[in-house]
Amino acid sequence: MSPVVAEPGAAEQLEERASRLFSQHQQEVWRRVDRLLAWLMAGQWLVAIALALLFSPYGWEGKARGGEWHLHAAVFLGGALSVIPIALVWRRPGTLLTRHGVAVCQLLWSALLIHLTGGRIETHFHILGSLTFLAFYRDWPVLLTASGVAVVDHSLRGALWPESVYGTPSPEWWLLLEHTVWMGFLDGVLILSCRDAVREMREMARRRAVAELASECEHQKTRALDHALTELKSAQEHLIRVEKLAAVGQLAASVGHELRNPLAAVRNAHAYLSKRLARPEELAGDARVPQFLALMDRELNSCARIISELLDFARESPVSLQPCPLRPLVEEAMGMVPAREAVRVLNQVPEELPVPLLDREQFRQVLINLVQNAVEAIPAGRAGEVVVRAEGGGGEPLRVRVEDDGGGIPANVLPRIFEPLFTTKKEGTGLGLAIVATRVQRHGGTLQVKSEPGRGSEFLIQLPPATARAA
Amino acid sequence: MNERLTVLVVDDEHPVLITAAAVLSEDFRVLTATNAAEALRLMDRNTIDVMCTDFNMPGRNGIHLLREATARQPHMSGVLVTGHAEYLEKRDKYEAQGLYYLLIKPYEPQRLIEIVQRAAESARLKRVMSSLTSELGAWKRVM
Repeated sequence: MSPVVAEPGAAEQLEERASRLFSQHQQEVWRRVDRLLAWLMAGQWLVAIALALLFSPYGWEGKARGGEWHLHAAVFLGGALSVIPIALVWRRPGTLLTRHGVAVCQLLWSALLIHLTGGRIETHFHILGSLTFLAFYRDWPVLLTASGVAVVDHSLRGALWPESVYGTPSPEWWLLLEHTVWMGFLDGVLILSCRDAVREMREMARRRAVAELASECEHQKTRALDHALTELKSAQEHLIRVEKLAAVGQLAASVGHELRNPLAAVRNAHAYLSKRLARPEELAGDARVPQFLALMDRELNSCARIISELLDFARESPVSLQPCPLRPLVEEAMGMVPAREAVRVLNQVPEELPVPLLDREQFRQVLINLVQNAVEAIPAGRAGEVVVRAEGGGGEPLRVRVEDDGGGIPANVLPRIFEPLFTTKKEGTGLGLAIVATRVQRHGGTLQVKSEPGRGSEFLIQLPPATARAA
Repeated sequence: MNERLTVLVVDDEHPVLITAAAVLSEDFRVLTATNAAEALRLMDRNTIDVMCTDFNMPGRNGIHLLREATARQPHMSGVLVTGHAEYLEKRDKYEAQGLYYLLIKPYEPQRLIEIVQRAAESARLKRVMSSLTSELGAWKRVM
């Protein structure tokens, strides 16, 4: 709860909230008890009429006027005593006036019922019952009003018409005192319980206020956090978009540049051949004609290769993993790489290697790229060896190595080799290793490189056990 | 043009070099070089009217080569071929200064011929001007 109190003005805020909650609760209690007592009033009316019809004639027999008068008292006086508080409850529920009005009427009901039963002592207990009901309000002044009404009623009727109260024309002088004392005793107990109840209500309100403020504070913090997260996310998305755009721009520029030379050569060759075709007699003797036709073919192929590598890089096709034996796949990839004299390419993947789960097409391309790079890494004119090995698999990570004993990668180049568009080759788009890295990543694996200038390089693919799981 | 002018084509891309040379060979005597050093060596033995060079080459780039070449043979005209479109903006400025003509790759072969012809014309004029100037100088001395 300390974060709530620690804020400036938090104590006032807490008090204000607690007193508001307390008032709300009190109001709820008052209205509920109002309704309860309204029902009680209606019930008492029916009971009073029944008493007037069935009991009063015998209770008062021979002592006063006939039953007719009791019935009228029950119907009309009782009616007034019920209708007034019911009207108050209906029109002004939960107000001070209603509570005290109800209290006055309830005690007058006691008086009427005592009267209707001819002042029987049992009916006097109705007063105690009424006070107990009124204590439900948890508002002790109501009890004083009610008790005051009872005392005044007892005093006046005791003086003017003792039979109506005590059932005898000459009651003992201490009867009023006795009734008052009993009532006072009950009042004392009820007032104490009212005060306890109010104190508990206050405590409850305070606790609820603390909890509410704390939860609001948390809620606010959560909202602020959510807001910050949303902002962060949108900033990130923006950044990614910007980076993507920059990458696309860079890519376009680079590819455009790569395409320029082949296109210029093809155009020149085409222009030359067109002119030659206009004079067919010179065609046969011109050695440039077949040379240029071959050149156009080569250069157009080179354009096509650049475009298809770009498409490969741009395409984000998901991997579809299937059991795929590695050794035959390596064999296939090696077959795709143009052989070079004096460079031996060895497949040393063990036959018994557990069958891994791979996207056959994508992983084959990965192997082709790595093997081709390895072959090209061996300096022209000297012998060399490229080896593909594999280990692990099954429940362990699968490790595939492509090693060469070529020239190695210079230390300043090494950190950049996986960057798209980075190339040291004359005929390269710089996309090959970027494509390899992306595809290995899509398999959930990692690609690492170790290289020693002059001694060769090793590319290591590590695939997680899930991908390398034996089928 | 009664005499065949000499064009030196310089490009590190072999396919571009031989095809450009073929396109120009109808109208000019064409020499080729794959880099700046080779081009300058050729200049020692030949008088060049137009040097048509790629901008982006290993070693000295096209602009450096043209500067060096014009210093050696002042009547020569230069054509710079580049893939960088940003040079387009400066084309007018360079051409006005007579430094060199610019051609953006990939170009129409016809355009290459036109530009080289224009450069050649300018080289021929420069040569005529300089011979007239020297003749004028000779006359002044005589008078």
